[in-house]
Amino acid sequence: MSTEDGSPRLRNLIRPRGTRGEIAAAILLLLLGYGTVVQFKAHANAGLESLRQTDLVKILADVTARTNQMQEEKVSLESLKFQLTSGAGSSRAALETVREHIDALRILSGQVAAHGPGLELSIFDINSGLTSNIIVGLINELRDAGAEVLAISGSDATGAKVQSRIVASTYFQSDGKSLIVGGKRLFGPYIIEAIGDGATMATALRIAGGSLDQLHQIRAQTLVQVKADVKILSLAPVEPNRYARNITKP
Amino acid sequence: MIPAIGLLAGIAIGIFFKPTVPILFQPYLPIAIVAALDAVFGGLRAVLDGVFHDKVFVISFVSNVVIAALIVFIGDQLGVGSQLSTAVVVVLGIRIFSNVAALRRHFFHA
Repeated sequence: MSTEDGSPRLRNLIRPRGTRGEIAAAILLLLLGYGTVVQFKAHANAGLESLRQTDLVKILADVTARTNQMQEEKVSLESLKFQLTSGAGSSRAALETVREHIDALRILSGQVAAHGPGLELSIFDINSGLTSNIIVGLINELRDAGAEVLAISGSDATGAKVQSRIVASTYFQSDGKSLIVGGKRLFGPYIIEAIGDGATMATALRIAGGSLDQLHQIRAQTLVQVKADVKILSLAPVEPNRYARNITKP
Repeated sequence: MIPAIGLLAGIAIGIFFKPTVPILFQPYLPIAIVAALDAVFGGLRAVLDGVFHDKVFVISFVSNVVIAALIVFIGDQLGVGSQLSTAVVVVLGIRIFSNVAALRRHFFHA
């Protein structure tokens, strides 16, 4: 096959003839174009749902292992608490330790208001591109950077300012226009308040490819303010355990 | 010309309707697209070589897509899905490269 044959054939290719072959090729290419765009889009906003089953199983196993580890730690701490309160002659020192633990646990579980140095992150989601994945990533990044108490503020349907405490069991759901935090619907702009080392948390947020980068990718405007005193007054709702019961000392 | 319009129309429909991939097809669509691309470049090459045949093109397109998806599906069932899809992509990638090289020789005589 000589290369000179290519040119007239190329001209032939460009001129529409409407033959059966051309129509068939057009239909197949239509499907290809459609499929390609669909895949591009699906890949661009891929979350957990696009992962393979094996990868998901791996992630689930990691999470389960971590949960077990935490549970074990919790049980050992609980038993320590019981030992200190019931036994050991209920000495003052033991009681103090327990009180400190209870205070820490109360703050951790969102049962008391808290204040302290920290940071405020304002998010203006002008493009309605905020997903729950981004918020969860952001919260985790703040926790990794040492945030002890977290809350998110926004306005409710009437426009009044609402603050929602973020604890371990808080869930996020996003429908683009609003964010549901632990059952409460919030509208933007959102302010995430965190108590902890403000400078460390601000640095963590600014890591390349980190949370701020992700927010900028969805073209949200952000403002990070390190504050000497952040007040978090909202409390997390207490859900009584349906199944779990305390292990009391035999 | 008409196939090119078909391709553009497909892209336009995809952009316009904002479809989502059904969960069932999610692992297979990317592989199927690469397989289809291979068939398309193969078809272009056949046109320039003067051996294009519409029936051959349609059958190669469809069978490429189906076989590629099938290999990945079987791989998934056997637990080697990600490795097999890599294998399919490598093979189809090599074929696409050699077909594009043939096109390049036609266009640039080099």
